[in-house]
Order: sequence, then structure tokens, then C-alpha cells
Amino acid sequence: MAQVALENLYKNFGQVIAVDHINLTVADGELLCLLGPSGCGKTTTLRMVAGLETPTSGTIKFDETVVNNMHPSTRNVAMVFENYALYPHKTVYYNIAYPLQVRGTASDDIEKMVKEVAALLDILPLLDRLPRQLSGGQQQRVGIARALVRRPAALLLDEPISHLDAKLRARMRGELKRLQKELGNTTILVTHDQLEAMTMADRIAVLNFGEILQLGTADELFAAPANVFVANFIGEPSMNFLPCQLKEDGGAPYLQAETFRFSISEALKQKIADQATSDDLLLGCRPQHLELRKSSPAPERAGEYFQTQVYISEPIGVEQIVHLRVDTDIIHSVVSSDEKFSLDDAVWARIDPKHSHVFDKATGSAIR
Amino acid sequence: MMSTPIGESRGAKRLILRISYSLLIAIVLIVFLFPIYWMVITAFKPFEETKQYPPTFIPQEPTLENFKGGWDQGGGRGLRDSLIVSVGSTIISMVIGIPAAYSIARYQTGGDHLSFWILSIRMMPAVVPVISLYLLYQDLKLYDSYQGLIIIYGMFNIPFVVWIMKGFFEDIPISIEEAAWVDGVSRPRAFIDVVLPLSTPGLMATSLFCFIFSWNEFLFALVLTIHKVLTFPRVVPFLMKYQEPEWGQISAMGLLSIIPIIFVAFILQRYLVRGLTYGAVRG
Amino acid sequence: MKNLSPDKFEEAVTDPDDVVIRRRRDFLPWALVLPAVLYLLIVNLYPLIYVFRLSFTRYAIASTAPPVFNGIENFKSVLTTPRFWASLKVTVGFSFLNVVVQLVLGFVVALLLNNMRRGRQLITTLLLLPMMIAPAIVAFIWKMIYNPYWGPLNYMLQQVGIEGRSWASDPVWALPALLVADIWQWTPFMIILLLAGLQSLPRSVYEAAYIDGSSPWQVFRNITLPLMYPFIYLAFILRVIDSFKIFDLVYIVTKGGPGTVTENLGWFTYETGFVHFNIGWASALSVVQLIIIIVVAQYALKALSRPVAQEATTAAEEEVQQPAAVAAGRA
Repeated sequence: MAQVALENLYKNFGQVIAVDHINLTVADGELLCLLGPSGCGKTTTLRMVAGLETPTSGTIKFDETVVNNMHPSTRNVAMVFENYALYPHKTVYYNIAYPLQVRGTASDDIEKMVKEVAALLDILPLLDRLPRQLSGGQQQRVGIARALVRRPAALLLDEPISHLDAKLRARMRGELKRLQKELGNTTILVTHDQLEAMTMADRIAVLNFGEILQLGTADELFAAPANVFVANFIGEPSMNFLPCQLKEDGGAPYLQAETFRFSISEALKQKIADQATSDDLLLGCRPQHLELRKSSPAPERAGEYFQTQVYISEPIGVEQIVHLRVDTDIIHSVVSSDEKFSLDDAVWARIDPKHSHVFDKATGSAIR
Repeated sequence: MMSTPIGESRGAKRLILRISYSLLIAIVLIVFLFPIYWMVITAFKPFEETKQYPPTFIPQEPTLENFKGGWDQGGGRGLRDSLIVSVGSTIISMVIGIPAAYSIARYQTGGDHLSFWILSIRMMPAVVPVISLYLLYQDLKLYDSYQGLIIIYGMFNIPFVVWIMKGFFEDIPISIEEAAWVDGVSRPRAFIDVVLPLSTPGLMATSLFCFIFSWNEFLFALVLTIHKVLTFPRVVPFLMKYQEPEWGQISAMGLLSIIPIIFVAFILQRYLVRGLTYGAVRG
Repeated sequence: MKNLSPDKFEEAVTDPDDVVIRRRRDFLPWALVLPAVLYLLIVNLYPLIYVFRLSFTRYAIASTAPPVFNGIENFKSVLTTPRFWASLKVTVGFSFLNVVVQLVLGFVVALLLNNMRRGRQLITTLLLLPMMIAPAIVAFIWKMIYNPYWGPLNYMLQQVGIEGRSWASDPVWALPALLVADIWQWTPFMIILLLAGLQSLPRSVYEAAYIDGSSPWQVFRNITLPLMYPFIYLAFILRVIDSFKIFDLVYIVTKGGPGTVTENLGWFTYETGFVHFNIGWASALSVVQLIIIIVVAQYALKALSRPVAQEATTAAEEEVQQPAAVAAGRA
């Protein structure tokens, strides 16, 4: 177990910049998630930590040792590949035992350790089978077992559960997290699934175009996204963004969207004035924080609500996602299923000011 | 697979078709197997019977004297020398060709040009370099030697090995090798433990090819060896230079020479999944 | 992804150690390929250069005189000798006839076999045999078969009332006799390759055609043939190139005779160089041959790397390719 530090890590493939000066430290025993869309550089970064790609510049350190020039076989990392990469010609037992064999571990010890980890992952009955005889979920667990059977400096997971069906994915999220807590491996998880990141990681680094857009805990990313990209990427359904501009009405500042006004505090107005690069802003509000009511609000609170029209609603059990038409946009609200909404119903919506976000439209940065 | 709807045949019509169909297949088989059969039976015919007219299609007095005679007259040497040269060439070609194939498969070394060049060597007619080789070999003391033949056979076998194994190596996902590296295995060991076992069908196919090519090669053996080395294809004209060639003996030796090939091919067939046309087309 | 203006690789590298590792990794692929490249350069290129040099000399080993430079005399001589053109005609004619007959026969048999379910594997394996036998031995077998006195061929022909001949020494029939022998040996290659192709054709197209009411002949012409084109082309090219190189057959059965009727380029070269020991002239002949082959090989190499030929590959994967493999390898 070690601390993994990436300093100014940069990688280009010919004319394409894959990783653009990333700085990141994964603490010993932490599970850090690299989250981002395809092509954002997360897998390249992971592979550089493994030693499967060479950084163009920058440093990778395990504790105090610079590992840039070390071949993967000497770095003592363990990796679970997206396609599992099991040895097709070896049984499950030997797939797991191989890293130990290669290190010259005594065969009695090997047997003990393999069985231990197989039990942990519930694959004991499969030890004599060949990979092609296993289901996807089973193969994946063998891949994980192979990685966990020794004590690596870092455990690297490359989209390990993305090819499993939904139910199995949900189960494996919990199991992987539990395993990591129990065994205490320094872990880097790469995924494009924000739910995976949110539920499993201690900290998340959101990447796009080779850069880290925000690094923080799930709560931080959810509640205080640093920019539009992070705000949009995290959270399902995505945050609603309403274009607006800062205006004032007799000393009371507000944001003017196309069909409604949103009152803001003096402090916020000041921040906008300081940080915004232009008049165009985005008002962000997560669907969970968008209140709906069918009947019109009480007159003293009327200013807080604005009119929308139901486009469609999607029931998801206890809750429902209501798609609403506002101006020319569609926004989403997640509310309880108790109240039913029909197509084209007129509905009043209210943005919870405690959970609203303002972004500069041009740069995408959050204004805080 | 294509099935054969034959218009609206049913019942008797279908039966007739099926019979004539089987007949055709039988004819095909007979045509392609008869000459081999002829050699086989000639091997067992005593000398006089081989010259009998009308020729007998089943040996009247089967004998083993041709085997002994042919063996002593040069057949034995022929088979032994062919074995030495074939095994030698196969080993050398595999040892040199496999790393090259791996390099080209994984790193596209030399791009298209290298691959093309290597492929093209296989197409060279033997008769072109053989003239200078004849002179060169005399100077280099390689004339009439095992090494001489083994070396020149490499010229055809190595491109073949590279050609075929490249395809097989390309089929092995690199992530499996990467998994081995991450597991702590050095590159050479990963190659041996992971890549080679997974490309066994290719290894079988290429070693079979190298062996067969060397075993059957004629022109280079004819020109570049004379007394000390006598590979089997040369035994044929060698035994035919008599006034009255011993057809039976030559047939016996011919039969012996194809047995190892057939044996090896049938055994290995179980392991061969992809063919040379496969590797061939990969370029 | 953002783009970098012209690749500033060196500028981007700040750690010199890094470059060393990369160079070491860059060196490995070449190190692996080096033995093969060196071997082939020495064994192939060097003799070729030597032949090339010899082709500009007058050199007859029989006499003790050393080689004498005589410019392009040899080439002029080669190109103006009728015997050269005759042998070229024999070579080209032989190759084409050879391949065309093999293709047609092979196709017919492949079509027959295509519809078999059981036993196809066995038959394909049996058909392997002719291809695996040494051409020298095949030549010997056919020499026996063609024997005018006690060969089975004349006997069987006599049974059906056809007069037998001395095939191998007949000026008219010698070349066809050789053709038959080669066709016998290599048609199985065609059969197996084309069979693999047929097996790979999508069944759904046929089903649609039959539902539409096409006759078998229409189906063959409009569906099978066009779809099989890549395989046909591949087989054609491979076999043409190999037919150019035929030697063993000629040596053992006819020795170029009677006269020069069956003399192809290979035999002609051999005879000039190793029977008459006219090395310089034979070298020039070789060089000319090489040029011809290079031209033809261009087409072959292009054919082999065309995407269309990739289908031949995949098809061969599913059928019994090992025979085809061995065949293609031997070819």
C-alpha cells in the first residue's frame, strides 16, 4: 500500500493531448475515482500509473519513489482490466495464482492465498474452470481476485463493472467498496458512470480533455460543483441550466430568465459582479431541488414560483421525473410519485434558493 | 451453410439426385487418390510384375523386397538426410521468424514495406538465385552440406513463419500480455507463458509447413548437393538413372517418404484452427 | 481533444531519463526483427546481386577461363533467341491453362462438396494428400502412369477403345501430360480454398433468392459467382505465380522434351546453367525471369492485402483451413 502522486503529468499521442498536466495525490488506503466521458484521458492516466504507457513529461511517484522508468512488472501494482484480460488457457485457479507463482511464493502458501481470496469473492466453486466457461460477472470477479491476491502498492481498476448487467453492477459496487475498505488498498478507479463514482469513491476527480475539472468528495461535487461540466456530469438526472442575466429592481437584485425572475442576495450580486466575465449567466438547479405545485401559490410567495408546462413524466417507483417545458427548454424535476401529472398540465415550479448555483455562461465556472 | 433446394424435387427424383451426387463425389475421390494408390501398390509388386502388361491393379505377389532394395540403394539415406535438413530448417526458421513476427504484429515494425518485402521473397523462383548460390557455396565450403541446404531453405521458410505467426499474434489481445506484465512477469516470460500457448495452432501450422517444404524441395537439393547429402526428392532421379529403373523400389521409398508427412498432418490437424489462407491474407 | 500544433515531442519532454526509456523501448522491436532481416538480406539479396553481376559476364565453367565482362550482350542474346520466347510461351501458356482448369474443376467440386453435411471433413482431409506429396514424387508417379508399355493409363484407355500413346515423349501430348499432372496435384488446393469461400457466403441471400423464385443457374450466376470473386482472385494469383516456378515435373518426366516442347523458363535456365554451364547467359536469363515475376508479383501482393481478401481469411477460418493452409504454404 502506498501513496500515489501524479505531478504535472502530461501525455500526448502525436498531435493529440491525452493528459494535460494533471496533479493529483491519492492517499494511502484511499479509493480515488477518475471520472469522465470517453476520451477524457482517465484511462491513459491509469495506464501511466500502471506503467503500460510512458508519460511524455511529469512524474509518477509511489510514496517517495519515482516510478516513471519502471516496467509494470516491477512496480507492484495490480490491475483489473475493462475486458478482464484473463489468461484463456489457464484455469481460474492458475489465473489467480499466477502473480504469486511468478514471485516465487511457496505452493502451499499460494493455495491458501488463492482460496482465501476466492472465498472473499465467492468464486471458490469455479477454481477448476476455464475463463470461457464463466459468465461475465464471474470473469470479472476472477479478474478482481487476481488483483487482490497479493498486496499491491496500488490497485487500479479500469471500468471493471461497465460490462455487467444493471443488477449485477449495483451489487458489485457495494462489494467492491466493502473489499476496498476491508483490505485497505490504495485504489484508483476509472469510470464514466457517475453513479459508480459517487457511491464508491472517497474522492472523485472529474476529467475532461485531459484536465482535472474538479477534485473532491462526492458531496462536494454534488453540492458545490466548480463548473458547468461537473455540475452537468454529476447527478442523475442532470442539473437544469437556465440562461439568465443579472438585473436590479429598485435595490433588489435578481436574475432575469426569459419568463421569470429569481431573486438573489446582495452578496451574491456582488460576487457575480466581481467574477462574471459578461452579462450572460446560467442558473443551475438540480431536479431534486425543483419544487412543483399544481395549484397556484399563495400571493405572498408568488414571486418565488414560475410557470411551466408538463411535457412528460417518468415514474421511477417512489419518485417520478417530470419533464417540464420552460420557454424553449425542457427542464427536469424529481418529486414524489404521490401527485400525478398529465401531459400539458400547467404547473408551478420553484427553485430552492439554498440549492441553486450560478455559472458564468462563457467560461462555465461557478460563481461562489 | 448453403442447402440445395433443387427446384421441386421430391421422393424418387431426390433419390436419383442423391445417388448421382454421391457418385460424383466418389469419382472425385477416385481421381485424386488413384495415382497415390498406384504408387502404393507398385511398391509392393516384384520387379517383373511392375512391368507386366496388362498392369495389375492389385499386387499378385506382394513383396517387401522393394523396401529393402530401395532403402539400400539410397532410399534410407534419402529419408535420413531429408529428416536432418527438414528438422534443422524448421527449427532455425521458427527461432528466427517468431520474434520477427511478434515484432511486426505488436509494433508494426517497418510498416508495410518490411512486410511486403518479406512476403515477396517467398514468391521468388528458386531457379533465379540458384546459379550464384552454386558458385557461392563452393567458395564458402557449403556445397554438398547439410548446413548449406538448411540455410537456403530458411529463405522460404522464414517469410512463411513471419507471415503466418504475425496473424496469430495479432489475434491475441495485448491486454492479456499487459495483465501478465502487471502481474509481475517480465516481457520474455510473458511471451512464453501467455503468447506462445495461445498461438499453438499457428505454431503447429508453421512448423508443419516448414517441415513439408524442406522435405519436398527439389531444385536446391539437386544443384547444391551431390554425394554427401542426399535428400529424398533427389533419390527419385537418382534411382531412375538406371537403364531399367526399379519402379517398385522407387515407389516403396516414395511411399515411405509420404508417410511421415501424412502422419504429422493428420495428427496436427486437430490443433489447427486457422489456416494459412488466413495468415496469407493478413499480408 | 485539443490539438497540438506541429508535434513538439522533444520540447515536451522534460525528463531526460524518460527519453532513454522510450529509446530503449523503441529499440526492442527492431532488435527482434533484426535476425530475420539480416538472414534474408544475406541469403536472398546477396545471391541476387551476384547473379545480377554474373549476367553481365561471359562465363562458362567448363573452360578454365574466368568470367569476362561483356556488358549487355547476354541480355541482347537472350531477348533475341527464339528459344527464350518459346520457353516463355510455354511458361505463360502452361500457367494460365493450369490455373484456369484448376479453378473451374475446383469450383465444380467445391460446389458439390458444399452441399454435403456428413463426411465433408473427411473428404477434405483426403484431398489434402496430393498437395502434400513432393512434386518430385508426383512427377515420378505420373511418369509411371504415362508409361506407354505398362502404365495404367494406356491400359484403361484401351479398354474404352482409345489408342494409347507414349505421352511423355509425344511432341503434341507432352505438355498436356504435364498439365494434367500439375492439375491433379493442385486442384485440391482450389477445392479447399473455394469451399471455404462458399461456406462463408451468407445464407440469407440464398434464401431470399429462392423465395424470389430464381433457378439454380440464376442463383449461381448472380449471387455465388460475384460473392466468390475475392476468393477466385486470390486463388488465381497464388497459383499463377507458383505455376511460373514449376521445375520438378519437367525435370523428372520430360526433361524439357521432346525437343523443347515442354521447356519452360525454369528448365531452360537450369539446362543452360547446369548442363551446358553457360553461367553468364543463364544468369541473364534468370534476371529476365526475375523481372517478369516482380511485375506479376506486384499484382499478387496488392491482391493479398486488399480488404476484399480479408473475407477469404475469415472464411477459411471456419472451414477446414489447415489443408488450404498447407497448400498455400506449399504453393
